[in-house]
Amino acid sequence: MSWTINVTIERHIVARPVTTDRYTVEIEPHRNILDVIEKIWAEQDRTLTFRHGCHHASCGSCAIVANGREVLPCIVHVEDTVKKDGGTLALGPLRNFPVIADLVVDMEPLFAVMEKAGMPIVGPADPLPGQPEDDYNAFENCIECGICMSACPVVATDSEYMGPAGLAAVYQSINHTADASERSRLLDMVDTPSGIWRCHVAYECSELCPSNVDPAGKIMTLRRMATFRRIRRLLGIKEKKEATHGIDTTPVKQ
Amino acid sequence: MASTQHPSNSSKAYPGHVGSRPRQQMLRWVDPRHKSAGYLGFIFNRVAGIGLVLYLYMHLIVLSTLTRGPEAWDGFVAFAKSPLILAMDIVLLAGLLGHGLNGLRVALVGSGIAVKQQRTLLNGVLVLAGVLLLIGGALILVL
Ligand code: HEM
Ligand code: SF4
Repeated sequence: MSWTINVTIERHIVARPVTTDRYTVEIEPHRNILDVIEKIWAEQDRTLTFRHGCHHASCGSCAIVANGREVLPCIVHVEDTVKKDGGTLALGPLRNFPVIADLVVDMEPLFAVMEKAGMPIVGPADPLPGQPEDDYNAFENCIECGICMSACPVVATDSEYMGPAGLAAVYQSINHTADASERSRLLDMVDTPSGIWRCHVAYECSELCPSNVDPAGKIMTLRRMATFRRIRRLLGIKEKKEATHGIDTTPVKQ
Repeated sequence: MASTQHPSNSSKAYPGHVGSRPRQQMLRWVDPRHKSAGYLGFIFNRVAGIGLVLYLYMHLIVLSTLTRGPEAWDGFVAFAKSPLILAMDIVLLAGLLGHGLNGLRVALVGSGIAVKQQRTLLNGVLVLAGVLLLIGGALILVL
């Protein structure tokens, strides 16, 4: 049986004031929010701008804010967000990114940090034999959807902050190399006021990340590495390749 | 389809939309709607921290009555025993306990210790703060 839901969508159109448009949509509750958006586009409003790719949480391109929380609309059911027949679904673009149009934001701030982190966008994702599953948490799980950047209270107020996804990328890049000087260079890059030390431990990124990257956990681990490094330097202990603080540094085959 | 214009969020927020950075809004972090426990803890910690700083200054001003002799001080003590001030003492205690205990959690997790246990720590902080607040609140009202 279909539900009738009231959808509001923030409309961002170049050189026009931002408006909220209302649509009434009939849809089965088990369908996804992206289905709602596509239905509106197909049946009611061809001017609606939105972005999507794979429809199954692999590409990260459809991320938006639905009823106040960042989601991938391709995998979130109407019933889980709208709750009841006749309910409301309020949609808007991701926060903390420049809006290009309607639900589409400019991902450049995220991609810029990713590039700095030297993170290959495509990489091996399965744990290697003998590699601990939970420590691995492959960064390649990151689909660069930007949800963590949108949800973070620090990104919201400080455009210099590298952000959860970028810092998690650096963590993973460190894990991918056994070259001590490269590891040191990467750690230098984040051991800064706009890097790992800017985080306020709100953990909203890890809470909302659709790919279980746990960016906040990665930031805290980077802090431990940076702190240990400072202590070692203070005591004049030479940097050793083996000093990994419990982090698996087995280089991953590319 | 019906359309409403946003009163507060005009296109000025994103000049030209394309390629521009969003305007910095210093108070964006305060919005508690639809947020998870850790985020709410962060908002609480910051608000309580600012509150404690304000309290510290107030406290110093109040202590300055000591320079005006015993009568002035006794007068202040009588005032401090009024129900309103006692109620505010309980709010102060809540802020101190919440900020202090959560601060210990933030400091631990924030330096890479007990990272995986951060949720458990947050729950522990809530329970411990609640219990200590009950005991402290009772003591404030009884004594
Ligand atoms: C009782 C022991 C205390 C502990 C363990 C503690 C711990 C902390 C920690 C770890 C932070 C950083 C939080 C973050 O990164 O978001 C912090 C922030 C802060 N604290 Fe405390 N604190 C204590 C007492 C106080 C007192 C007495 C005051 C005021 C006089 C105070 C005022 C502040 C302020 C203003 C901030 C900044 C808040 C922010 O930027 O979010 N704290 N505290
Ligand atoms: S870390 Fe998670 S939330 Fe952030 S961009 Fe990657 S997949 Fe999205």
